[in-house]
Amino acid sequence: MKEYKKVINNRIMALSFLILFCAGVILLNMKFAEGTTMQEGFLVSFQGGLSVSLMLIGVINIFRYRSAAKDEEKLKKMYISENDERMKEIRRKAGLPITLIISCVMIAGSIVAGYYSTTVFYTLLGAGMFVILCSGITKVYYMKKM
Amino acid sequence: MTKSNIIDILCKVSFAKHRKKNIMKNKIKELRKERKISQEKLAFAVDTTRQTITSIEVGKYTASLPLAYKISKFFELSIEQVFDFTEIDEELK
Repeated sequence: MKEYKKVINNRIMALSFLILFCAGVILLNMKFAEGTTMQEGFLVSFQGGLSVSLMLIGVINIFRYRSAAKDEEKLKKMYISENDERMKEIRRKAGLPITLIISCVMIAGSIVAGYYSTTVFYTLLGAGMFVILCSGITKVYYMKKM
Repeated sequence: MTKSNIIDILCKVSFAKHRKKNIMKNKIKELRKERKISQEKLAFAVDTTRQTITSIEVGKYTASLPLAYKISKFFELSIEQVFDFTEIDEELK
């Protein structure tokens, strides 16, 4: 449990950096988006919405991790839910975490490409969402089967 | 538990995982009800989730050797007393 506490603390730090990064992206768009494709309604709102939701998720998880770090029972329950062998097997069969990494890279790539080409933005975004959808359906299937 | 017993159980559990039907019968539900223990309590004691215990009880999921050992130890019984290996024994003959 001591090692898992260290993992939790590292996650809190990483989430803090993520929140700052997302805030930076929102400010960047507000100041320097002029003259790029980011002036378009959907692109700028997609990026803004994604940044805000990532910030919210980060804040919620920071509160969750902090409360778990203070309570041994909550910490153990969190550890068990993450390291349960059946869930590990289900995630392995669903192709996680590689499919999640691939889709996150595609979505990040789409955000960068969005500053230069809307076609590339929509293509990468669509592909990333499709990979997430396939992975999700596979996970639900194996959760029912196992 | 001798070395040969451990190897014997390991072979049976790994064989069970690769069987076509992959259903491992067990007495976990009966043992739980006898001792008035909830699935949640058993799951917490053996470091797993309630959903995993449910899946093991209905035979949808076959526990790994360490988990099977933890469950047996929780009930203070041997693995063979908790999990039913009779079908596997017949197939191995």
